[in-house]
Amino acid sequence: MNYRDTPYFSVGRATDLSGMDRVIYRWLERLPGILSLGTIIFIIIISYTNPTFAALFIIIFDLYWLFKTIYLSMHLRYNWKRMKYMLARDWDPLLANLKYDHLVHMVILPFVNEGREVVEKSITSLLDAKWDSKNIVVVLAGEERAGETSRALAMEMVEKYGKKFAHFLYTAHPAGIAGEMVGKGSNIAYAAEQSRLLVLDPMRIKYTDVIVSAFDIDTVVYPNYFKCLTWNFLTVPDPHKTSFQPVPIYNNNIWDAPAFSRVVAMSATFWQMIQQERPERLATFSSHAISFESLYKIGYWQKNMVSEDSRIFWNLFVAHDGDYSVVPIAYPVSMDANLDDGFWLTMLSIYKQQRRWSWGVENVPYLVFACIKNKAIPLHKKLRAVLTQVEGFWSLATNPIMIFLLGWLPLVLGGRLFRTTILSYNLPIITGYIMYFSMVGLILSALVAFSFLPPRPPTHKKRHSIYMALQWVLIPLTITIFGAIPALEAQTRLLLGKYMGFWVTPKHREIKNV
Amino acid sequence: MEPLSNKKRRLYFYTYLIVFLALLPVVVLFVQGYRLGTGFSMLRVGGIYVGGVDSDVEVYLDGTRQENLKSLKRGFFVESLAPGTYSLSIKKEGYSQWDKIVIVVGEKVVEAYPLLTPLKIEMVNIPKQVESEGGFFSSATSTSFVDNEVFAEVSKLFEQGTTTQSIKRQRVTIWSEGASIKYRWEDDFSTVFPALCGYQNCIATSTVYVAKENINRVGFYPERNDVVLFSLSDGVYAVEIDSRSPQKIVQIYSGKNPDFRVEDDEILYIKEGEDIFQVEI
Repeated sequence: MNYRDTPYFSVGRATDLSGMDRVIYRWLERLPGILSLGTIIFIIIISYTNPTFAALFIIIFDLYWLFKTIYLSMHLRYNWKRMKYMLARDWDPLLANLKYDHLVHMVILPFVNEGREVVEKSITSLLDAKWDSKNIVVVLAGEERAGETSRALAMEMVEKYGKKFAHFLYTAHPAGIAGEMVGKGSNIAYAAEQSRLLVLDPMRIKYTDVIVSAFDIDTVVYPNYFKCLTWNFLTVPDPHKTSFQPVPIYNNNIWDAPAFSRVVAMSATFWQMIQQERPERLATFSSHAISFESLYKIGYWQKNMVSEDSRIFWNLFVAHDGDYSVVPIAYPVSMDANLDDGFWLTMLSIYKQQRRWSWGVENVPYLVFACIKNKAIPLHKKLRAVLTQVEGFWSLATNPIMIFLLGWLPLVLGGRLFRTTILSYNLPIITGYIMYFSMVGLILSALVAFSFLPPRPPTHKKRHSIYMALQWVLIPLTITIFGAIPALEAQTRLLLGKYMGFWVTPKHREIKNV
Repeated sequence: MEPLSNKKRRLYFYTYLIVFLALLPVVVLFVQGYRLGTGFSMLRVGGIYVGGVDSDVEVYLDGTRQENLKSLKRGFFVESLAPGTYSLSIKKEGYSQWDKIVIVVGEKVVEAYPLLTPLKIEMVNIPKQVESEGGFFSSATSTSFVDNEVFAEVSKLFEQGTTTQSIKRQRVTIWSEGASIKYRWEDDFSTVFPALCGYQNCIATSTVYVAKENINRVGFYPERNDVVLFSLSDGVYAVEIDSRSPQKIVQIYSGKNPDFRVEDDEILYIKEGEDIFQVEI
């Protein structure tokens, strides 16, 4: 029996299972939290009981972090060059030798109650793309619970843009369907099925010919997105065993967002750029593309969990017994940085968004459990996938805290004898040097970020460009407050069984900048 | 343009790994004070930390000014010193020089908190009465005086406390017994400050200083719990608890049977007869 036909395939949390399966899954849910909290508690304890060991551990860890930063920066720099190349590339000669007329692009835009300027900008960017819009099916995936205003806006969009695409479908995901969690996954899964019933089947379009771009409502495509995606789709060995990952750049409102929001958003972009050069570690994130055939075979995105964007990759990975991959297309899509009404609401929004992204840790128990149950996945693939995921979430939750907060702990808890050792004096000096060298990498970050900035709006003064460079000194704060802490909260919630629901990031733009 | 090739990534990864592994023992040994001595022998160095001083002080070791100092907390760290005995001097323009003989041992850092006092200590007399600011009916040609509220407030400080009581601050208690000044550490030695511990052993109770006559009063120096103020019949003095040679003792005030008080651990007042002075140290 294929794994996708087992009851384990669509498990959202331990409570969906019973008996020993439930016990095992529950312990796997606890695993990331135990590892992360255990690491922090371990350092606190050894700082008191064996400060010499703790100090050496911290210095070695800082050194490891420095080398890791250099290694990852190299990937960032390469992807920056590659993305620049992809943006400037002439795709027509490449596509000229390929047959692609049969392909249909389906773009799913899930929305709840976002404003007209957000929705319309995403739709018009599809029209502005260098691709025949009569070959694009747009699915505006609304929520019934969002009410009449949302529906009216959707109908207005259908009226205004409907005839400009191959098809423009509005779907309203019904509220209160048993077994579903309110969120993007259940919405776009419903939208995909409706588009099959109402568009693909009546128009006799083969599922294998449809490339689905599952976007957020604020996703704005760059001109050659569809050409780049089509070329990748047609040139990979098996497009139905492949997902396609663009690079999310949070540029739409970058000049309006506060510095903290910009740094967090650009850091997320940088991480995705780094991962693009490490495809074996890449899972789909945020806006991504998949063949409709692949989606249909597994029943679309999972409807009973939060992190549908990455889970869809793991669903397909275990369904194909590990024979599934992500192709990083090194081509950007533009999205919104966090921006709410006022500074503190924006800070809260950033935190909640980061916590939701960190809730992707719910994929760890799913993946490990699938690796236990699905014997057909090769062992080396299981090990690589599990270790990559576990290490990723552990690093996210612990590394900034270990580097920026716990580095001083042996000095505080170590006692008089330790404080009179040369090691105790060297600890802040050496960690300071290592941090200093690591922070030199921020110059690279600033340069990369600058190169992707949209032109400064006339409403913003020149000094805002200087702020764009200076903002990177906030990195130690942002990766701790908006990286490690929300990740720790998410893992602790999973550890305690306090499951999270889906939180919709407010999409807000200053009208003057639209 | 192809993604970064696996070959290139592996090359970078293993290069960094080798450099990391090569650096690891060097860093681990270095931070613990190991250095390469003559003839490739391993030497374990120590250091000196000079705390509680500003950046404008000069640090001398065996008469040589130290240039390669690391700023740390509020002080300086002199690192990579071979084990041995050093003559440490701290100089600051306008202040009396501070000297100490320190013994540096491998792996350890000797701490020193210099007592730097101005060569010319400023005394501000607090007048008993001050000129009246005048009112609506005051004459422009005559001057009237009123009692100074500051003087009255400071006078109250001198009415408090007995001369023999012990004083405790941050786990250190000091008191006088005849001509002796004593201290007691009120906690375990895991958190004791270095002045009480000398080079090896910490002493819970000991004599700080024996004066030439009975001591009238003891108290802590402003913002220091390792320096004791005491008054004799001929003046007010400050002495370090740190008994490492030479123990610095400074006369703060010269006069006849002066008394002193420290307000809020910040301001030193000295009273002689009916006069009260605020002392700038």
